[in-house]
Amino acid sequence: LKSADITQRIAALLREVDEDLVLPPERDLGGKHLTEDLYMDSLDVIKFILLAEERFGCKLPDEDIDRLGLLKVSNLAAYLSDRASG
Amino acid sequence: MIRAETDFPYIGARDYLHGTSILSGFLNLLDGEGAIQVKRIKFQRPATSNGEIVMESGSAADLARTESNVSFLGTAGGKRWRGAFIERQRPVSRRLTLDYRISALKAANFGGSCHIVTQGREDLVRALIEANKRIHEATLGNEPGLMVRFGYLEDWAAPGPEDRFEGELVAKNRLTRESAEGVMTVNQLSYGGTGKPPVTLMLCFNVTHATNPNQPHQGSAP
Repeated sequence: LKSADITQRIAALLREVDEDLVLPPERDLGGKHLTEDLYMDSLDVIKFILLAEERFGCKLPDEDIDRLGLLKVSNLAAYLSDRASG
Repeated sequence: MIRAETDFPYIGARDYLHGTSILSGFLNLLDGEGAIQVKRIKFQRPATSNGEIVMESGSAADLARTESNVSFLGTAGGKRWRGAFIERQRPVSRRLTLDYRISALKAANFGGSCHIVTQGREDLVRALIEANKRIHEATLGNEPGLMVRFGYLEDWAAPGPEDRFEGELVAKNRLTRESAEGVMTVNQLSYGGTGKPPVTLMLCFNVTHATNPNQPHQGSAP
């Protein structure tokens, strides 16, 4: 899967979690962090992780989220491009 | 727009409003509008006082999100509703002691099952949340000082206000995320009578250590 396609799908998931979330254009989304830049709270983050695991068919273990900074969209897109099956 | 002052009680020894009371408050206001589907109710900030519920219908409905303690999104009779509960420092004048009819509880890894008996929708809401809470507490060995908080509920076809239920409730853990503050879980609950398809819903809970278990911790209630 291409990272750009994944970023587009991540944007769609973010809107599914919170339809009121204000997202930047997709070309700028990669540099954004879910909590620090998009101001998602912990409840929305866990909802997003659950959806991402389901839709991409790929586990997002806590240790990878923390170690690899997967709450930053570009890091998550790169991670999923290597592992996603969905 | 619907705007209603609340008269929620405290439950047990708690000094904050129970999320189940607030959820029932939203549902009660939608009775008469048709079958209710809860898309999402999210507990953003704990509330210790009464206030008001505001609900709007239609796709353009837009409520002030930042000041609300609880946000609600759902449909009733096929029409979309958004709502918010905002506390307004109005006193809580009642305290209820509840008797939950929950038995045969089994729990492991934040999932489990039990038998519940409920006398109506509000009773069912309270039993669903209490059962999931007990499953969490049992998983963690009933460690003293644990604060189990209700984060959100999603995707639930709510029954009518007088609908009774007796049967097995099953909780499947879908996600567990540990952090420095504690553990967050997402469980899928299902329950159903003989010969009927099970009703499902998703629950997100947050477990932390509280210095005073009767007080709300930061974040969501209860």
